[in-house]
Amino acid sequence: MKTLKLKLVTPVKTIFDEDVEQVHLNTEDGEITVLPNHAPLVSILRPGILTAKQEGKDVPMAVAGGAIEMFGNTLVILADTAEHPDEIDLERAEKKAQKLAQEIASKQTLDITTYKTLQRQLEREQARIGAVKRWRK
Amino acid sequence: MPSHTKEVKLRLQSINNTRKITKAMELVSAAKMRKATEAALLTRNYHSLAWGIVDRLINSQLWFDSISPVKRFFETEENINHTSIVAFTSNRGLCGAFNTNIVKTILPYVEKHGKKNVSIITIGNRGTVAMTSLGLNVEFAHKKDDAAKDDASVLEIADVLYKKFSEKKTDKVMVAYSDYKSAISQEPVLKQLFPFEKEPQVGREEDEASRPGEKNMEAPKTLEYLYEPNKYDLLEYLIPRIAQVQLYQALLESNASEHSARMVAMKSASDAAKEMADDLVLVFNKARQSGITQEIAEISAGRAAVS
Repeated sequence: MKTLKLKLVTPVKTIFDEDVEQVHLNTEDGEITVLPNHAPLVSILRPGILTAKQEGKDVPMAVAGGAIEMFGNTLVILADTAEHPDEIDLERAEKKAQKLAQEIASKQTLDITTYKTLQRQLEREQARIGAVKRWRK
Repeated sequence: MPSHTKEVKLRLQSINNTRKITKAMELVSAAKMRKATEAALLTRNYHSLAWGIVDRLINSQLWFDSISPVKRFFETEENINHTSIVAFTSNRGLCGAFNTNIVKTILPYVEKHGKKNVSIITIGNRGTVAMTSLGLNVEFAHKKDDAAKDDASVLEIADVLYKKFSEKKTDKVMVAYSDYKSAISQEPVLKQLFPFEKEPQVGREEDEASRPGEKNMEAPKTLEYLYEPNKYDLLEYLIPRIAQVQLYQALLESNASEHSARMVAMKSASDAAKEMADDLVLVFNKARQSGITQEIAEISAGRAAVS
């Protein structure tokens, strides 16, 4: 089976650096699946669930925004955060998402930087919640 | 001479107290350094992969409409009128030549281009104070995030730099920070951030082989990337991120360097205090002994006079 190299890194650490058969992820333009020997590509990663297929098994990850680059059969994903569903504390994520949503809704005026940061955090929490609901049994 | 011994004793005590403090600070710095170094090393991977993308973009078939705001980031400006420098220094002193070294790396550049044409963004109180007193043009002053857990503290600065550069308010953006090499060696560096250059930039070493991190592949000149959603939107998103990554890495390297500089400074202070205390103990013993000798001499002289 043909494989491609997936490098999933966050500023804090390297999460994943192994050969996989395919990677499914959200980009600015919609969901895409990257197969081995994909053409060189640069795109923007949206917060959501990234699924890598390794030896026939799906490996899910909740990722926050970032950038992706495909080159030379290596898919580099620079994500702000990435977590396996088993590592996520669902209750905490839900509470946090609720708090963030309230914070955004309650403010009459918000400067753009704060808004962006809050929005980014909210999207991240939602991605985490989604990942847990879909993958944890 | 009881008064003399008392003086020496007091002095000895104060030196020993100082030594206790410097020793404690040394240990604290050592612990902080371990953490900061770990963080800096872990981020190097992310950082060099991010640079790999920029490198390949520069190398690939990349062309822009002349009105595009991102065009500027990939062109070398001939006339540099205005430069912005981000300087990473420490919030607190007692760390040897750490801050002076940063100022020293910036000064020649400022002198060459004139104080008016270089604006400085300082991170860390010490740098702000030092550079203001030298009469440099300090534009923004930030506190350094000493225990950086994420890149939150540099996001805003990266945004400001990106805006300034794309609005042509500045022609060149440089970053000055201490590169962490080892616990005893930190190298102050001044590197270019914008526009992107093929030469070594922030955090990149000529001898990359000697540093842990990802090896990057060279792209062939004929390479054409697919850009999604499109080239301009993508780069407008990517470039500020690259700046954030750079500044974050510089912050972590600075933190690691600061703590190790402080540790070394405190260690030599403790050593010096120990040496001084040892000398003083000798002086104290001599003074005490000479006091005793004198007293005995006085007593026996008195006895000789009586009998």
